[in-house]
Amino acid sequence: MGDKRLIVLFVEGETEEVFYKYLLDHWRQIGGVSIIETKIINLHGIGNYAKKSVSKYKGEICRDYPNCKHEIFLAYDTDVFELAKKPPVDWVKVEKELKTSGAVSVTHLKAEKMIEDWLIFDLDGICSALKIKKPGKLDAISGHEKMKKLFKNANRVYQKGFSMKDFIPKLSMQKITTGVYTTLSCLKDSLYPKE
Amino acid sequence: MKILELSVGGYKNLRKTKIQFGKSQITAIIAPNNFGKSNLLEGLKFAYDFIHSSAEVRAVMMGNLWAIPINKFLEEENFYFEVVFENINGSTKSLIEYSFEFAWKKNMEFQGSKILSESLRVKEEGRAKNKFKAYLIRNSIRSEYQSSPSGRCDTQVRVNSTDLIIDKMRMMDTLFYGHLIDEIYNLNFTLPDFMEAEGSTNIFIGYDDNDGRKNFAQFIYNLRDRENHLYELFINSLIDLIPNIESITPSAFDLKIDPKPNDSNGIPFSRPEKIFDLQIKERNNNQSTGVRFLSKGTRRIIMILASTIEAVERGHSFIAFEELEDSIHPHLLQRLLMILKGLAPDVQILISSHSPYLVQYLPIECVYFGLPNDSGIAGFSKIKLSKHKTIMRIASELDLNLGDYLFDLMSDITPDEKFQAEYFDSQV
Repeated sequence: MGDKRLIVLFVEGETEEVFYKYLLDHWRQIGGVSIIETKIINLHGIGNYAKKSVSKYKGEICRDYPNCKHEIFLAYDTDVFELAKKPPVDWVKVEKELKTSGAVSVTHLKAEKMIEDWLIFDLDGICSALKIKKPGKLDAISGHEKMKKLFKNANRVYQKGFSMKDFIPKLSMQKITTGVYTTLSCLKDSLYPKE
Repeated sequence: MKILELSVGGYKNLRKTKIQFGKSQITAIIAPNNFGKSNLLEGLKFAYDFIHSSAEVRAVMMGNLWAIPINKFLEEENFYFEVVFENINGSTKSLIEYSFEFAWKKNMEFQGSKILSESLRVKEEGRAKNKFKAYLIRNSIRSEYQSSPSGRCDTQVRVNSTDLIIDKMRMMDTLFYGHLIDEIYNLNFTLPDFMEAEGSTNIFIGYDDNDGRKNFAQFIYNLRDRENHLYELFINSLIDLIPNIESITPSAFDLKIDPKPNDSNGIPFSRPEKIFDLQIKERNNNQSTGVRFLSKGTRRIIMILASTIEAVERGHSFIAFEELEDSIHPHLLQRLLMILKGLAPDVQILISSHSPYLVQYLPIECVYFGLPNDSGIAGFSKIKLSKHKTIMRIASELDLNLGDYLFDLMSDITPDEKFQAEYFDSQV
């Protein structure tokens, strides 16, 4: 294994895939420094997460990047979504299997409670994309519930993991990353070449 | 009004079964073919129809040859129905439990075709002794109700064998819980029948539904004017599920050649002669086409969404779908469940399913199993709460999604009462 590093980001759905793609683009644009290569792998759809992540890692990453140090980030929500696929992912098991398969490091990128709690930091952007007036008060206990209310105002039904993928390109990554700086800092710090 | 529980039994091969609706709003029943899933849904519809029928029609219903249990182990069973719902009246939240039971028609006429019992009980939250209080009791010995807030359930009422006591209570203007009786009558239930759409588009396009025929295109056309926000929800949800569709436009064609009503000929009533269709513009097509050119799966999605919207518009508290997954790609099922919940947040949804892909998305406490037995009786139970973690752990260890594991489990279940008693809640 050489000194070259590769960041691999495993995500659970289309929303996360698009979010991290635009996040990385944002950091690339403002960084002023070339960030190291990153791969985003979406594990959505039918199938077992643990098995799939290892299979994708071995089948794609190890095959295509054999001489790199693979640093893996697992991105997921901490709250359980009621209609999520069951059983829930055993992240400890996933980490163990990836390390056994050759990953140099595995870091958990936990969206405290759900990724919607991050996206809602750009409320103006969401309302603009939905073509609705920004509500004076958004009374809900979580980002997910807030998103459902906003979509309802636009006569749409919010579908977690699917609805935001067309909207994310219209949101301000600056606002969102400011809101969740601490959680994302470990990813951001890893993107720059180490001396 | 929010339904919390429904119980039905003594209908075809159905043993008394209680369905409890959890926080999830979507509940599933799974069982092999020909077990009795449809009988559960039909039994609930039958009960609703019974409440809303006249005494004469009820007499006929109690002799319905399609419904009378002929299973040897259920032949003496009476039809039973119970509903528990939540009612909020001002600042008071109550739980209401209403039930009735009747004997099916018998060879010895005097033994059958009569309502045997009826009960209405209410529990108010926040009361010092939080118990159910009887407002109506009817059995072979007494038929009584509570007539005043401070009284007891001891006011006698005369009622015929095909009358429900709530029929009489509904006429009492000053009954202090008359609003609860109204709620029972307002219980409404949607059980869409999509069989007619198999290979046919008649359910979509057709004439004005004054002749009683179901016509989805007309419903959607009128929805646009009646409830535009529901119409927009419908359109947006459909496009979310079928992104190849760019637009859907309900259209109506007036076939009348006679003078219009506002002409001076002065016809007192002009019979409508419109025909309705849906014009669909798909992304890669160079023109719009009618609904008959859509795939069976897409038409089914339209029907599911439209039925759900209709239930919301009519204020129905409950909707059931048979084999929701039929003709729908597994990858769409999660989105469809989310959309159904979003379209009808106040409607309880019960689905029968053969699909592990669908069931894997539901909380385990919202899945009812048809438990096999040697008597041919349909009964449904949930997995015991104490076994939920075990089930999840085993599914995870086997690298199976929950749906696959539950269906595997079901195929392994024998009429072994010991195993069933260990894993499943006892049936009502």
